[in-house]
Amino acid sequence: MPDDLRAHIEGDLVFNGINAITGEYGQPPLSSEKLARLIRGVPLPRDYRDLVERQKRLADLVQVEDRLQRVTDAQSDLQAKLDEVRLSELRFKAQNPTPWPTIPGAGDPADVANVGWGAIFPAEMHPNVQEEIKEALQPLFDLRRAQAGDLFHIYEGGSAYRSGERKGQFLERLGVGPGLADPREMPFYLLLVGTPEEIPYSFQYQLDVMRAVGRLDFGSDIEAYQNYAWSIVAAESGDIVLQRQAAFFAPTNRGDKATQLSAQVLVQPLYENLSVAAPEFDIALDHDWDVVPPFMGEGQATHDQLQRLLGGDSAQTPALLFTASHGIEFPANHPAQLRQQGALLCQDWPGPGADVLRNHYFAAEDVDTSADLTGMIAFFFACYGAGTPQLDQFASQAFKVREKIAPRSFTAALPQQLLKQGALAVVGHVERAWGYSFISPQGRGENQAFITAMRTLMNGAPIGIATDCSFDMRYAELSSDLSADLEELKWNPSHLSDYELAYRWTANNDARSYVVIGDPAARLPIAEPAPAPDVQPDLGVIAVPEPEPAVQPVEDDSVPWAEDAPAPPLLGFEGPPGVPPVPEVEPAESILEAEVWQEVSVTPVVKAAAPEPEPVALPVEDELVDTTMAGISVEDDSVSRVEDALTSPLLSFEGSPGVPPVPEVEPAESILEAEVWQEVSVTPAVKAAAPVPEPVFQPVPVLPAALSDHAAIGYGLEDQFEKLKASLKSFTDQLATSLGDAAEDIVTLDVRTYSASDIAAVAEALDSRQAIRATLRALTRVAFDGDLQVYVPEKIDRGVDPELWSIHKAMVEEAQVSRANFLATMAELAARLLDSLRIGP
Amino acid sequence: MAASRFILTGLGLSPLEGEDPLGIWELSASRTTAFAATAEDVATAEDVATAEDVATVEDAATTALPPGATEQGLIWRIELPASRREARSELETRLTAAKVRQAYLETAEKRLSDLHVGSAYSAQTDSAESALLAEVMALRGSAVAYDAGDTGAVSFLHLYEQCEALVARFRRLVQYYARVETSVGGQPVALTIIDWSGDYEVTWQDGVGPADMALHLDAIRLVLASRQAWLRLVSVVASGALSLSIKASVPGGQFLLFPAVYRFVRDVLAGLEQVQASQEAPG
Repeated sequence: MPDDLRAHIEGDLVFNGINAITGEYGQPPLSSEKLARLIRGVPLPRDYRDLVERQKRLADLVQVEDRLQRVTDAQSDLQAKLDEVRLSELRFKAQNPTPWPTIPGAGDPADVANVGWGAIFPAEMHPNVQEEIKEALQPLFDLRRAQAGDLFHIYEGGSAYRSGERKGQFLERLGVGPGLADPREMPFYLLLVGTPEEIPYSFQYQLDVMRAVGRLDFGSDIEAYQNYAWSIVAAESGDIVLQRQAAFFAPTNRGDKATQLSAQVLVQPLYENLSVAAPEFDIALDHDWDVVPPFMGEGQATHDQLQRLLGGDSAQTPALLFTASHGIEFPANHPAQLRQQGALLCQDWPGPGADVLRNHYFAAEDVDTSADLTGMIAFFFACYGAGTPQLDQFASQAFKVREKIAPRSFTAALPQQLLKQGALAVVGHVERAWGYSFISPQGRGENQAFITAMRTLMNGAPIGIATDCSFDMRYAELSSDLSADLEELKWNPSHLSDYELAYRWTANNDARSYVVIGDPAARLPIAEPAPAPDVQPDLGVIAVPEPEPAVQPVEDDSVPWAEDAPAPPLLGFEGPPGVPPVPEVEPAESILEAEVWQEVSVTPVVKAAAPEPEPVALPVEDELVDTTMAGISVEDDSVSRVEDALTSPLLSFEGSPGVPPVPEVEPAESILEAEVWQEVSVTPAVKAAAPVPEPVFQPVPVLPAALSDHAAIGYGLEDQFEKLKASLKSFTDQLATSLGDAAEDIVTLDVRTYSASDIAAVAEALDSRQAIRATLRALTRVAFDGDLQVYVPEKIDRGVDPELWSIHKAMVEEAQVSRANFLATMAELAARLLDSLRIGP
Repeated sequence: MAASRFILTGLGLSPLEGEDPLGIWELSASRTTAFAATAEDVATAEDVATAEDVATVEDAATTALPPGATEQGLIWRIELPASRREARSELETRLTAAKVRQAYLETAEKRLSDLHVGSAYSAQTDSAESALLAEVMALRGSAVAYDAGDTGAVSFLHLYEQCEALVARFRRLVQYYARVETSVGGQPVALTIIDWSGDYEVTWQDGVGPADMALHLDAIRLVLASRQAWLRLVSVVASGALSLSIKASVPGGQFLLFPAVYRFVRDVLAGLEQVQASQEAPG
């Protein structure tokens, strides 16, 4: 790898996304050291640690230390338990030598008939909407039912996914065991039908570990469901056949490290690998493929070119498309967020610091409405390319603060639009995508997951298999390794460097977030060669000699057979006696031979091959440096920022790591700091205060030094002093106790919603500690790792009240944020009060 | 049209300590007759209070309860007008104010840290720093300026008593959970209890609409922002008093300076609020 590219990998973690409004980073960079510190242990707020240290000097507060220590132990235990089940499956997957996560004997999982197919609906989907969607998808269901037979299942009603359920709970409720997929218990191929609000991404990730999972989310667009169903049917019935052609799209925005790396370390090697039918150690392609040289860089990876590739020009639209670019990010609740987040930023964007104009990125509405994408499968390597969660997953891990990055979790519009117009599936990334998807900390390209996925798909396997044997395996391996590393770090802090730890953690989260939009059993409807015709080979002229005259037998009985009598003719040949037998025509030993043997006629509806584009010369190192530096408006005080940015290792593909905004405050290490930072930023426009007149100071004789003994003691007020100290200590005790109680209970956060016919009576009952008459309507329990358990009373006369449910969810969100802020402030206060007590006279 | 009211009961601050330094809440001793002492009955700093008086007030606040009744803790009552638009506007204004006060606390903390107790001086008495420094010097020099007589002992006693009262009030702030009650147009909307682990229990009046639900959620946000600001204020006072006592070389001064620093912070907040108000005034 060139040194300049390698240099890009070192340095701070660029925790960023390119903001479509500002063209800048949305988050300040973070050093791997800080990230590693945050990852290393179960979160122990810095204030707690300081508090514990202070308390050690106060013998009568040792119990608080014990309590806090128990809290951290409890946190560790809970974290371990929560991870254990999930990690056990990931470890198994990583260590299991069998290539597929199905039980032995299930048969080839590429065949739906062997491993089954199912659709999962969310319980909270309106029954009318669900029925309409089912009806629209009926052609698909009929197809899969015919294929899977008894291994076909629709999960709805009582077996539907229930809001807040974890995968383990869902499976257990349906009597399905963890581990290898047993199609008799639950099909291997599972299609989630619903939004990520209805069936969360976390559930999809978890379920996808041991099964092939895809999602279909067209909202209430029933026609889209119907069109998609017919696309699948047409593709699998042979009505649609595509030429085996793969194309690549890779912008290299000026001055942008991320796209330079993705083009040179991901796309180019991928293209080169796939151009070889049977490279060593890789899956051999069963057929020849037209692997089109990448549309890369200036003049190639433009908005217009992408439009052509996505159906704008049928001659250029491939069966298989791979793109690597930035994805567009919008601020939460921005009007364009739901429609355009995850749109692919093209070469048209000038680079870091430049405004992002609408024609710089390719969004759903840019797909030509007349474009026929039937049969296409696409890979999008871009941030938010497949979807966006409501809460920032990365920040919640790093800073233990869940920021809202979207009004709700949603599926990206571009993949949805492609499916609406005939595409069978899109593989993309939910949330941010990182360079660690394909680069190791040492700067080695790690494209194997992409190569394996593409080759598997190109050989006609379902998309769910292609991603399972590649991205899911990578996720399993990384998770397994990471859990072992974290365990080792508890005992051996030097087990991993901060940089290595940050890489592994980020790579793990990144690997988890690749999802399939579409039917996981969908496969490319690529052209198959016609069978060999029944034609005998022409063996040329065969000379037939005259037969030997027959030997007449001797009539004299006394004369025996002459020894030179001719041998009797050989038996069993069809041809004339004495003629070598005509060999039977052996059938072709392989389709390949038959193909070579005679021309294969192409069945109808085959798209013509796209003209090969001019080969793109990749910039040499010097040119790369020039490209990197060109176009950046560098001011004196921002040169260091540019240099820092150029050495950033982890590249998120939402924007360009050009000149990230340097925060005035270091990235928050604690909730308190974050809160302070945020608070300052939301301060309303307070006009500058009028200058306060300087006090006028007049020197007076210096007073003698204070008494060596306390003045109060000197005045006989020892009792008062002791009483005050005791009062303050009591206050601190109370604070520490409350803090300790809160810390003990911090592992879960409960939000309960009741309703009552008389609130005033409830208040009175609270005052007098009498029984409260209220009906529990909803309960949400947030575990320490952020997972939600939602309980809704089953017997509700009025059904689930959507307004009540909506406000309940808002309360849950508020509770999470407020608790973090409150505990941080309490800890700070306790620390300061303890200082007062410690220093004391 | 009914005006909004934002009432905090159970904190028990005396009128001398002033109203809510955040300028958001009416401080009420208690809404029930269970409490024998009201805010008006608490001895003020100007009065020559004795330790026994203070103890009586404190005890009254905590023990004079009818049979079966319990200490209420902190109750934040938000009474909003019937007009949802006005109600929302009121809540937004106060929520903004709470956040602004937190920013002001940063200023107060900064001004405390910038305070220098070097060469002795006297200053004009119309600035918060001046008033604070005057108290500091009085405390520092009292051993010499005053003979060991009643006047000095009473002064110190005052300080201790004030400090104890303040600490007792702050203790209530952290001792009890928060209870938020919202009514709109005189009709109760919801009641929410937030305990120390951050758990919520929200009880809605049957039939309440989404607009009122949103108002109650905003009310909760206001309460939490206010409580946050209060805790921050106590934190600033504690660290400021400690820092000042070290600078002034007053052993044990971190306790004695509590009330003075509290008044300083309160005055800084009020001063900044006045500046903002004057700048925003029309004309």
